[in-house]
Amino acid sequence: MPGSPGHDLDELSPQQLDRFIDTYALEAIKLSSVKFAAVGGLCLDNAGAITVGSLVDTRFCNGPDSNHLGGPFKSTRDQYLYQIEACLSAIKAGMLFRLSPLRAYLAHLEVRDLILDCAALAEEEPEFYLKHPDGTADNILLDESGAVTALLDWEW
Amino acid sequence: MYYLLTLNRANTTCKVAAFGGPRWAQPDHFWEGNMALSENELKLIEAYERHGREDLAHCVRNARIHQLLFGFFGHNMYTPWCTKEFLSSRHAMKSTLNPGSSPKAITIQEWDIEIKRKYEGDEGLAMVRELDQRQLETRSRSDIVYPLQRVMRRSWKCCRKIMGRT
Repeated sequence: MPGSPGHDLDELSPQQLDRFIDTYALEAIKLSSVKFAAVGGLCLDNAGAITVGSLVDTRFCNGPDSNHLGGPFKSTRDQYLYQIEACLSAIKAGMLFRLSPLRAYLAHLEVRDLILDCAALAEEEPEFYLKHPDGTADNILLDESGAVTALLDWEW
Repeated sequence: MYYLLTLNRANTTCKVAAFGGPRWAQPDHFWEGNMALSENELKLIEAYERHGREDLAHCVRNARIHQLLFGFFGHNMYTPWCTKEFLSSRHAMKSTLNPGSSPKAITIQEWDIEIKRKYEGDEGLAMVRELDQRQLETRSRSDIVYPLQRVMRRSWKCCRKIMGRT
């Protein structure tokens, strides 16, 4: 695979940085044509077609298969509310934020109310797109001119 | 152009979260409540606009909600030594998720009082209070035990030195 990881973008010259951002934008534009019907994790259905199944998030890993976290969801708002409920349950069970469960629990209740009251999150979302879980420059390969040659590690 | 992607491990999300400022473009200051766009985010907006994609430029301008929530989950900022970080990220969440609210900065003591009053009827709260109490007791025990152990270990080393065994 050509190119080397971006690592520190501060080390690029102004010309290389402009080239990097421009080619990144072009790749994102291409990716915006790949659409899905729900929020979740990609998987294959019985016929071998790519479909959307449970969300994958290793930050919620508490057991052999628990990093598959619910879903698919019909909105990001539903996803966040599900994640909040999962966190609240894990705190109550003594599995998450064990050093200060009370403050963590109350903070999650407060954020749940903020999500429920948030007008922007209540808007209808007709289509969904691939999201890189860690969009740092470490996962982007660049050539000498700064142009993007590969986007790596889209998986959790 | 190459994309390296493993099926069963990649997620989908809404347009704003997918195309809003990626990590390489994000500033750190939004966790402290400063919502200004970074230089790289502004350049990305310009690039999208230059290529006729005002819709993707809009995503970069409006992605803070998702960036804050993405960072919120699983991030442990609830211990006493993370109070400053906790209060500033709470302030950022409040002002971004509810833009009309203009929340005032509060101390952790004020937050404690306000939040316990607000959620006193919550079903799970009693159980979590118990867990928290147990944790406090363990912590206070270790506050006594660990320094004592350190003092004893140091004294033992001194004794061994004096007795010429080291």
